[in-house]
Amino acid sequence: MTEPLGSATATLPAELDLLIIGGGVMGLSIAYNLAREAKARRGGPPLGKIAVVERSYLVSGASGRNGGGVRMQWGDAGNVALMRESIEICRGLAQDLDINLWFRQGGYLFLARTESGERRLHRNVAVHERVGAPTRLLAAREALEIAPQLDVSEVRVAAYNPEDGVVFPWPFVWGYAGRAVEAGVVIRTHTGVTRLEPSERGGFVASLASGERIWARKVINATGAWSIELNRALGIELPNHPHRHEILSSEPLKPFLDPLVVDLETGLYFSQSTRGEIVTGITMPDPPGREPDRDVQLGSSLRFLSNVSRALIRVLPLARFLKPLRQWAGPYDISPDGDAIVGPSPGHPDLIQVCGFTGHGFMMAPALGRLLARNLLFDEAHPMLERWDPCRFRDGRELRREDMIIG
Amino acid sequence: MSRARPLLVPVEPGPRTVNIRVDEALVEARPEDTLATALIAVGSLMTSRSPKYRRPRGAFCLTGDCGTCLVRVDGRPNVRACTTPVREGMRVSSQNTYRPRRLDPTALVDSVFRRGMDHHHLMVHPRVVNQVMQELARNLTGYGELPEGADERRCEHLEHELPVVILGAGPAGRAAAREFERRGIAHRLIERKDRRQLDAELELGEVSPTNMLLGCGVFAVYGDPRAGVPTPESAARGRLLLAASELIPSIEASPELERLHGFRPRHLVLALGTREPMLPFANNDLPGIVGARGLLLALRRAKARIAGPCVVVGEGERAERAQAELDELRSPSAPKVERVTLDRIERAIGSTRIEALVLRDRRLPCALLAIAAPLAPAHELATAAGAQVRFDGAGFAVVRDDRGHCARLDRSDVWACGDLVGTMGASAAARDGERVAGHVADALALAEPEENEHG
Amino acid sequence: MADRTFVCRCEDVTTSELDHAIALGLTTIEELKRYTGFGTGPCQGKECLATVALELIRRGVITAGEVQPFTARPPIEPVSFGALATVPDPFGEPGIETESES
Repeated sequence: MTEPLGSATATLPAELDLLIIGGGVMGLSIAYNLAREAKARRGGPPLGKIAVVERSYLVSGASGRNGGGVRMQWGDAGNVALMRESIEICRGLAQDLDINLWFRQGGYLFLARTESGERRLHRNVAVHERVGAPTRLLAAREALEIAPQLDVSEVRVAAYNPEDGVVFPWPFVWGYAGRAVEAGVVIRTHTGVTRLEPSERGGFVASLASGERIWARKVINATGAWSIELNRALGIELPNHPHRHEILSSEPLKPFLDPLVVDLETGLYFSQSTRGEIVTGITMPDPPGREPDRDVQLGSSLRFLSNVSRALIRVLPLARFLKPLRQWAGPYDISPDGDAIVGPSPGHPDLIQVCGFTGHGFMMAPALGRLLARNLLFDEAHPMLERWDPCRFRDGRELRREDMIIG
Repeated sequence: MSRARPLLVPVEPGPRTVNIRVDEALVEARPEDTLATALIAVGSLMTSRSPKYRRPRGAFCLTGDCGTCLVRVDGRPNVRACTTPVREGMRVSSQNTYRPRRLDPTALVDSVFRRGMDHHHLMVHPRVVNQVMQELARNLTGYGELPEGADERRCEHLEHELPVVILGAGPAGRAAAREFERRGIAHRLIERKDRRQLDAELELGEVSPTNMLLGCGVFAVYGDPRAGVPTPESAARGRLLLAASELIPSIEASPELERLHGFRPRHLVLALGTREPMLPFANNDLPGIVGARGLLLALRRAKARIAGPCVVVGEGERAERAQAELDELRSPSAPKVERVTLDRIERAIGSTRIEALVLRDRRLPCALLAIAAPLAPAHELATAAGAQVRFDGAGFAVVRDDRGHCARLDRSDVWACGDLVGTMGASAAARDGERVAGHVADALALAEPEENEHG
Repeated sequence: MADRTFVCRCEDVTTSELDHAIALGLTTIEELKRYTGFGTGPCQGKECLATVALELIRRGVITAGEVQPFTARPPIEPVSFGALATVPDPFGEPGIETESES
């Protein structure tokens, strides 16, 4: 039997057209979309042999540890357009993947309590209006109508987009995996790639923890916060780095909160999952004097619990009567300019980077998988690919700094 | 519900009663009662419906571990009935159920999905049906309603640095505390049970340790947030951080107080004991199916006897002893406590609570079914502190060296004793606690002088 | 009432759901937890983890020597957001508006 979620014993061909390293939402969305696009366009190039190799189990990394927010409220037109596309895909994705994704469009509500926050929201909404996104500014009392439990006494202005929403992240990964396996993609779990070397005949040879050696014409590094190690071994220096981000969910409650709420001042975000849990996190600056993480750290802290509790109670006062159910951490894969790092690697054009999503990769994965698949199969251009070019740091072409990065 | 036959009766008629309101009914409880024993006493066992199949659920472990006796108390959602003492005028509601219970339409979900429900693939197509299903699912999951009209709780925070903290006032923890006391080593024994519960558990004639913090649940062990930060301050501290919550009930005019403690011990002695796991048989989720140990402890605390048919499930010495002890705590009017082994059970039957056990050869009336399975060590805080565990046939037992040392987190040492390292029984656990405390004392004596402080 | 045997009562996970997940090729405690949902409810595994481990060993999915618990997630005992909010940040409060944070 072919396991729809991959397995530790799935047979890997010795030679591949494409090896995707990392069975997170990125790698699997790409695998699924390659199969889907190849099938949709008859007469195009054949799909070839594709395998996804995952070091642990599916959803073990950041794809299984995030808050599941999906929003088009970004600070510049490129990201707004990209996320509009992602949200449009999400609307029918449960049916495409044949699995419940619990995508609920309850909107995103950004609250500004300071003058500079107010300016940010005004500026964003102007951008959104220009590209026709349904984001609008709200007065504090209008925000209260959307989320009646909030304390809006300090709120100067709010921004609301009713098409933003939340998902349950895990089934995205399983759904993409199931469809990819159906289309002939091999998914090998519990198997790490220990070494990647350029091959004399072109392409790469990957050594696996199982002892196997596999040749692949092209390789995608979709290991997110774990990508640095693999890149460094090949002499590829990219400026992304891992950052521990903590998150928690509360005891389950009956539905009371439709939107995902963001408090711009503290970087607090919270939403209510289908199971009724309040899922919340907050921007936590590193302790003073601490160097940025070089390796992925996944510990939990009391410092996070207390900071998120204070910030949450300030915006949602009834939370003081409630209890957290569990806390955990996941790795952000931070890119210095806030833009992802996607495309052929400097010096190694057959190694495609898909990293640097800075804590927002999950929501972008549906759109990214499609546009990258079209690019790889049909050489189709996309404005974001130019912007995400991994060579931009080497060439000094850093474009802008996205400022709607939350958490 | 007040007309139902009582399931528990007092050993001696109490001097006064405590009146609480449970959903629409008035329930007379006694000062010794927890909410769980008050509810079991009147045969009101169902506290909620389950999130998926909408089945009746009630208290199982009776020791504050499982999650199914959550009720709404005085406007606060999701409060554990088994660890909440009753108070005059308390307002209690069941959760995630529609009233009247017998007419709750959501109870039909269980029959409609008789063959099981794969929530990943339930009504995915077409999209419009999927959306209706999602909205329904959203309303049927989640337990508590939002808090409303709840009394404000006073909250405060205290930090402690001391050489030794012991977690768990079972036989091993109590013996370890007495050993530290005897040697004059500053220490604190932390226990989540309240005084009344602990007193009910002390051996006859046993003196309770003096330096205890009762009613205080340690909810996490963290690495020191300052560890790894290159400042002189971290070098001085850099110990593991135990975080605990102590709930002090409101007395007269003073409001309820929740005190958040942070402990930074040089040595952490874990004596957390074990938990009662569930046994697999058909309808093992019915209200009235409880842990044998939890039931015994609850009866001793509430000074109550079993007044209905009670059956023990399990084999071996522990199950036999549970049967004998429960039988001693049986009212003369109730039938003798029976015992069956798991392999003889076909299924349990009942509607909102267990009514009988269907065995291979007969049907056994049953109002309380006490599970006496091999006990599983409460390993969570130990693994969080970095200890290794191994599956010992019943649960995950903490691995330690000859002296009892099991981990080192930052500049703190972690030790384990008693049933936490594998079930050994009360008297062996007490000896083990004393022995490990001796090794901890030796380690303290050997340590650098500046590492030793007395708090 | 339908006859069901539960391994996790918080999240309504039955032995047949566990079997279904095993048949999909899932073999470790962590991935079975995520796919079936066992251990993610109010008890956070305190009631069900040992039971599931035993069921997996009985089914030959995993051996007693290799089975490990899933990572325990704090808080292990109840604590309110109200009480947690009283703990000061050891490095001072974050909360300056973060225009360029990560």
